[in-house]
Amino acid sequence: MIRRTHGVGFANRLASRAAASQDEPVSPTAPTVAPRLAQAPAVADPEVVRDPTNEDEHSTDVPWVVLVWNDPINLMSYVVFVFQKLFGYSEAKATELMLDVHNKGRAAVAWGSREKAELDVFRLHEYGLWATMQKDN
Amino acid sequence: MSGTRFGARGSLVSVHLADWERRLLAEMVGELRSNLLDHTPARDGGDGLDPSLRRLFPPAYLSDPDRDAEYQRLMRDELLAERLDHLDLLDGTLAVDHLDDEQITAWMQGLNELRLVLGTQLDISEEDDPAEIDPHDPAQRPRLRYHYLGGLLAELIDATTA
Repeated sequence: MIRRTHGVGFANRLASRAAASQDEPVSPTAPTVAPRLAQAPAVADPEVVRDPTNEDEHSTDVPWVVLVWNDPINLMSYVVFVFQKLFGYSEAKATELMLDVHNKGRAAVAWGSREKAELDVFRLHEYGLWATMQKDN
Repeated sequence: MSGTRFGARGSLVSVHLADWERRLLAEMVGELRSNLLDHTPARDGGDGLDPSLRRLFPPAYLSDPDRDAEYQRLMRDELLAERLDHLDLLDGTLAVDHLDDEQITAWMQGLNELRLVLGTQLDISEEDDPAEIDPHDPAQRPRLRYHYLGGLLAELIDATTA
């Protein structure tokens, strides 16, 4: 199981930022005070910390893509393992993406709202992968 | 490597490390922990970050410095806290015989971080061949350690996915 205590803090930080800048919709139920480590959800799916209101509003246009870049250090088997663990990809799909990273220099591994992409980038960074995000033109 | 240092045991992974390996890992984890605490400036977007730690705190936005600065301001402390948490968990379980899921994750992330820092210091290439290393040359110790960690991590992945 992924250690996901960061998920709660992350969601709250994003909610606080959105509330401050008014540039992103915020669920009325999203807490604005971050009790870090205090409210780790009891289920294994990190999706639960995402804002459902936000997801719905952005489900028709998917403007952000998460890229993983090649590097000489991360083991191929490790990258495959991380793709499967974080995104639920099959071993075959995770291997295909890893080979894209290895042979083409990068691969797109996830898509979604800016908040979802930032959370995915954070989780990939936590595993030491070289991930970035950009608008999916 | 024969892959005998970790074994699949149901949902757990058994650990079969020699004492010298556990001591070596404790030493390396301690060094990285100190390095992180001493050389990770908070929320500054990367300026002043110890170069060997740069791979542990990569940019999220490559071509948007403003958004990346905001991301780093929001998330760098949290990423540092996560790294220290799982290094502590790795350090605290170096003597155990079995690892559960949370501990396996901490071991993988910790071993990989040690590789990232060493590989960055060595400016390692994908083709670097451990067979070319003279094991009696003290100057080659970081390179030996880098490949040692790679073998260990690969075995842990094999045991976890078996």
